[in-house]
Amino acid sequence: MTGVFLPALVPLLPLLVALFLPALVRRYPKASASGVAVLLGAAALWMLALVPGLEAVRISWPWVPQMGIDLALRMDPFTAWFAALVLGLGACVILHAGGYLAKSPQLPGVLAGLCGFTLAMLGVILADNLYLLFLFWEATSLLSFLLVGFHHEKEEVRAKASQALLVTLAGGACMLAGIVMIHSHFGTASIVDLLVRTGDGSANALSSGALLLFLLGALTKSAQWPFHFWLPNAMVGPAPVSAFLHSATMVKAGVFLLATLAPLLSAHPLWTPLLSACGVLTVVTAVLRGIRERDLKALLACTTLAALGFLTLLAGMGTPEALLGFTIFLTAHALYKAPLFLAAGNLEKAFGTRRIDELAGAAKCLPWTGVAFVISGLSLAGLGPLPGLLGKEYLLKATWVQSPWLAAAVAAAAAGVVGLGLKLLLPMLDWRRRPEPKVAVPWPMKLAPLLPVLGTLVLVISLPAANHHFLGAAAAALGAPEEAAYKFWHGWTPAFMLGMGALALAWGVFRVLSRPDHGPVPAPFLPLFEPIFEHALTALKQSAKGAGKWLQSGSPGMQIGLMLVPLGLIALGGLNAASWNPRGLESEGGVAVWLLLGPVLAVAAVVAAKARTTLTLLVSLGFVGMVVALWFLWFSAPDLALTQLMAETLLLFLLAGVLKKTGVEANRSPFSTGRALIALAGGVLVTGLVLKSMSLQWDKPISAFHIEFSKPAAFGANVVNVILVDFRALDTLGEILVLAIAAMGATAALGAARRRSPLPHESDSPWLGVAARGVAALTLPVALWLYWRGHNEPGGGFIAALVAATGAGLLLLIRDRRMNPIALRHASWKLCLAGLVVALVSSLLPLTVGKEFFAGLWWHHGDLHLGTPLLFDLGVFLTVLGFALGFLRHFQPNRPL
Amino acid sequence: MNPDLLILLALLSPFVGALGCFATLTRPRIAAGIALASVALSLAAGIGLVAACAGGSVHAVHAGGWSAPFGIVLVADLFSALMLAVCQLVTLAALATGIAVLPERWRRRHFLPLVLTLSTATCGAFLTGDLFNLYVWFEVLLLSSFALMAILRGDAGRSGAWRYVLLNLVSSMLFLGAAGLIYGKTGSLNFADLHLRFANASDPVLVESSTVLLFGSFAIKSALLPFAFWLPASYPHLPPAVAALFAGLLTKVGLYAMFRVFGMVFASESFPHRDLLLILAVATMVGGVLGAVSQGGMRGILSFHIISQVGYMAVALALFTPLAIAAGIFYLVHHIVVKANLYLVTGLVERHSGSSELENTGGLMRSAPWMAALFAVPALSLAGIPPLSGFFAKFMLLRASIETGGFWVTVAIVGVGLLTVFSMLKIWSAAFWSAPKTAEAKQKPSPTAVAASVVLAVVTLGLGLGAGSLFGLAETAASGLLEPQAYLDAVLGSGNPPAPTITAKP
Amino acid sequence: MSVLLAMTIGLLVAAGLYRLLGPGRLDAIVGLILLGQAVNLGIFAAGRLRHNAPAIVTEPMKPVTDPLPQALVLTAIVIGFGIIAFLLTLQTRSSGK
Repeated sequence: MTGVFLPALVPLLPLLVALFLPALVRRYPKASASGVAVLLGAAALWMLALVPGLEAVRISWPWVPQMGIDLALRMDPFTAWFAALVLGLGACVILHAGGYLAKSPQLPGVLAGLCGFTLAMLGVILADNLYLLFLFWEATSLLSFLLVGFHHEKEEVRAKASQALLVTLAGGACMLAGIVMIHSHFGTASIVDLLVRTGDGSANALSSGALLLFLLGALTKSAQWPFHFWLPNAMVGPAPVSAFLHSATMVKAGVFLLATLAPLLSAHPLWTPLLSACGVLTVVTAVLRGIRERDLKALLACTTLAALGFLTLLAGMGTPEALLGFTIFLTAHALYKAPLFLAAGNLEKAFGTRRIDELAGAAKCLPWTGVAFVISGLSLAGLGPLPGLLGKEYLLKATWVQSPWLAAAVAAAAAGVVGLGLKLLLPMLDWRRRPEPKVAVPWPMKLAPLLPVLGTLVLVISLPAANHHFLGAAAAALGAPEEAAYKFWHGWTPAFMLGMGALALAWGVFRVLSRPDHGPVPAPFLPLFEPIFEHALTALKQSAKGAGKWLQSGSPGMQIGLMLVPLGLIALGGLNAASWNPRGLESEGGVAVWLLLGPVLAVAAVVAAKARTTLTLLVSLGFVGMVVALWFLWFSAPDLALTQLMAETLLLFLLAGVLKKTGVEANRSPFSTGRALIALAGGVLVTGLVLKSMSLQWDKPISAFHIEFSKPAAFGANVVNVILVDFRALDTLGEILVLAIAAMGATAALGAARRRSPLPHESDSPWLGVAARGVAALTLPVALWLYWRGHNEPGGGFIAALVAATGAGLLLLIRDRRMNPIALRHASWKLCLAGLVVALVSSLLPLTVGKEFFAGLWWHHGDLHLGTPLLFDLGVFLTVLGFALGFLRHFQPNRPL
Repeated sequence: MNPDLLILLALLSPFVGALGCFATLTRPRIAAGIALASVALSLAAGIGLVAACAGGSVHAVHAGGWSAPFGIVLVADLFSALMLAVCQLVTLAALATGIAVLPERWRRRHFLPLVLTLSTATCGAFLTGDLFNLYVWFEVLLLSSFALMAILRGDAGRSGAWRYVLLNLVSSMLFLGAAGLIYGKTGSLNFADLHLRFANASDPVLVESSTVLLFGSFAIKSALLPFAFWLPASYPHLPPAVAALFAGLLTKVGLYAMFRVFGMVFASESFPHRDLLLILAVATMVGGVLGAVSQGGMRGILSFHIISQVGYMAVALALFTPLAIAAGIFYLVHHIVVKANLYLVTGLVERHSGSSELENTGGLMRSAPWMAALFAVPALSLAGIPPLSGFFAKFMLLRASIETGGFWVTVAIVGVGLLTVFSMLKIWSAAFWSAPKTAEAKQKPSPTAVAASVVLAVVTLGLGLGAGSLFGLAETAASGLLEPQAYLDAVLGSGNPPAPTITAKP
Repeated sequence: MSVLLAMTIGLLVAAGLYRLLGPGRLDAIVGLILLGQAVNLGIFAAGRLRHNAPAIVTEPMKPVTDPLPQALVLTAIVIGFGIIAFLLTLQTRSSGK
């Protein structure tokens, strides 16, 4: 069963060859293109052979089954027929491209692109899952972008290719949203399953928004009014690409999808009016625009627009008769449009121009191309028993059933198209002129347009036979009546009369238009939408510039303000909303101590905020730090107080060093009321937040566990230290990592001191030196003692290390020669490393005896408890010492700037 | 392998690697070997964890052997494991590229140990089950990344780095304050325990004033507007190999925290500040992409696109349906790979043309078509073109938003997607399609850098083709967030909710 | 007392914010130092305040100050210290060269 899909895979083969063996293609351009063409042609015939008697088949593999995305393909006579058309025209186009681009180094890319394009279009046709269809849909957009942008060194080409891509992708994005809605409305994304729901009334209930979004995709793709402007612009691509884009692929994807779902969705009240209107307006626009065109390809593009308008109209009616007309119109258009474009490419190549008046009489000079052009042109105009005539007949017939007035309008529009056809054809047949070809056209280019013409003729000749097995079957599969048969003569029906009228009108129109003195035709629909699109883009870029500027300008302080103010407002809301009870505040400790410390802190803080000179700043910051430390002490947190004191001291030392070196004034900015207001508001808010947090406690805090088990299970009486080195040792590991990184980063940023700085002088006063050395020598034992007692008494590795570092700082002050930068850097580096290794080892040791990560291993001897947490604390000690030494080195007095 | 050991391996392997690189600074080859091996090991552990958690099981390591919530727990659920694996993959790619292409100055200046501490912090943030521990890892992350930025020269680079660190320190302050306040109210720091205490609270609104600080902190980290000023100020100055690392990791850790804390810890039917998140997320999508449109260089465009894409992922959280969360997780995984790869490709372009400013580049389609292909994969994926991973991510989000009926959100998702196409198109037009500006390639491409980019491109393709499996994983991960029973069981023991009374050591 | 302490914290925050929002880099660093002090005090206060409680556990058990916020603040002080020190060092570079 799956075998029927094999011909659709044929383009994959040349695609891979062109992608992976471009050298081969470049070496034998003509042979490789012809080879690919033969391959695709064979696949087309194979596919065609499948059409008669084909039962509708479906295969499916799950892809993202949860979202209803399956790799599901379906085939019925219509899709097979269409696929055969795509493959066959693909073969012709590739054959042509082999000649047209024979000398281009990009041929392998174009071949790969065309094969990929064929594949993508086959995917659109054969996909059963709407999402899979969307995938191929987007692929056709992207591939057409790449192919249209063949001459991409030109600015204009890039702009137009981008425009086409943006319009079609925008439509595609809307369509995806539409598909999602359709999926959730009908409960399935499978086209076959969707069509089963035809007539059960479920389509009426589909939301109009969903339908509109879905239609936007199809209408942009098929270049329907008002999105039609991209298609004529896409003419900047090379001829074979245009031929392919206009005949069987790309633009046909939209009308194909419309026709496929028409039986189901035409029940929706919006479907028919919307699509009919778009279709008719597209035709009118196309004709008006075509009248003005002098460029052969642009004129052809307008006839494509018109044909697409008719196809949309047919799909919009969605009746069986309309779908019957759709099938023949689609086929006829594909078969005549491809040779017209290919022939136009030949003419352009031969005569170096695309202007119709300059090409007058060209048919005679390139006879084979001329034959293809004329027969196709006749089919386009519906003159003579050709498929194009059939298409127009069935169009009128279907429309007449719907509404005679609409039919009259369509006939008038069709007359315009016939007029355009005449405008194309008659100059070519001008006997009086005979332009000279400048370049010889190679045979593949001559052959390529003839093949679809051959197809046209075969179709006409074998119509009685082809009807039932091929065309009729295809139309029936799409939704046309069973056993339908196409024929040219239906008797003197109203549709026929209308057609005749249209022909007469067309002749009249053409006569008027071909008078040399007629001025430019007003074209009300033409300039409207492209400028809107371009203006929208410009406006977008403008507003983007604003946004980009806003995001990249402003001082950091302003940006912080922008971040904090909204947060503060929301936090304020949180404060109000809460029904918390301020009386829940416990209050231990007297107000007296606040009276002592509070005003000092307040004054210091205000002074620090405003301080203008270095000294004021340092002193006020010092006061703040000290008072905070005292506060910690008062509220029974000696460890904190010690740490705060040590850290504060070192920090001030560093700050003083920076200020001394950089010579920056502490505060140069004037007082700002705005800043002050924000700051005050922030302060008030934080007061509230803290109070609220202090007044609430829902459950017993986890620290109760720490207090209870500190001594019995972790063998330490100083709970804070036990938390740091045991209960939450992982935090501390991260913390010392931060310190090591800071030390590392400072070296990385400032660069290692590579040259030994001039040998430092000893301090001037020998007594000071002795005293300092004495104190420094004392710091180490004190530090070790602090470290040792830390587990049971206030102290610990961090405090100990800072004490030791103070000793080193003293030595620096007296310019001890052991404190030279290189020695300090090495010491810092080694200590940090050693500390981290010790800490890590202490965390990993328990694993070796099968205990948990970081679990304490203890060795008890009487009151002496030795364990890995102590080892870990040693790691902390070493790292912090290394860190402190590293920073001291940057601020040592004798280090040259 | 025992999942608990995998957790430790994932976290400690880059840690040990950092120490190893730190110790072998003077021997670059050995250091590079150590760095690559340790990240690769961590990546392997991450993949192992994904496999171990794929069924929805959760594994926890109780550090120190203390039962939760009293000690710190390292927890791997599927979400963490996925994030960890994909981040380590990107780290490996960026590290390899950095070793191959960064100028000598960077390598000499502690590039390797700093990247590894960055990687350690990322793993720590993904694995930790404790609010304060998360803060500590954030600080490690911040300082590592800032130390890397501090290597930058030039006024613009340094002022960008300054803005980066300053604004992120504000985030740290907010986080620290929030952690303190939340502990003050709930008496706990453990995610699982907090979840239960919060769920049992008499009035969950009570915690909103402190969670807003947390929200602000994460919003800064993940670069939501108007908290994203640091990103466009700093990223464009970074060498692409470093930017790839940052782009892949930093904002995503912030988003991870957002998903974990707001999507799980404080979530029940909804979570605090959800409406605010939705508004900010949409603003971020739109503002970010507009910023990108305004840029004239690949680095700038990509930086703004990070912001815009962050908006998508935040929208996923804000929509807060199982599908949306799954889409968000899928998006995160996809985006980390794609964005890092785009920066790597930028690096290739710069090496080839000497610049990635659009006005100075051109003709790459002719001179280096392979580069065009390498750019196309992540660019199309970013833009959401099927069958690449970005399509599925956007599609799932689109569907989630349509299902919740958010009209404007849907419009934004579709519209911003188009503008993304627009700016990718701009890069393509200028760098690849326009006429060449320079005659010769400035430098030959580095094979390692190309290979790294190819690997990430293949992963992007694989994520698209295997979207079904990845989405299955994302769904499992999402349900792990929304119904965290397995998480609670793994962390607190299966007898939860634990009585808040004190229990003895296990 | 708690109210007074909370107000003091608020004042510190205000001072820090004023400095932080200022234009210079040094402003920002000083602001961060002040804010850091405020946040640390805040965390500490969140753990309830207790005067004259023993710093270490003793037998028999007496109520002690909540040790966990203390440990958190200790970690925060150290981390903040490391970062500010690093920032200060970089300041010498930017104006030193």
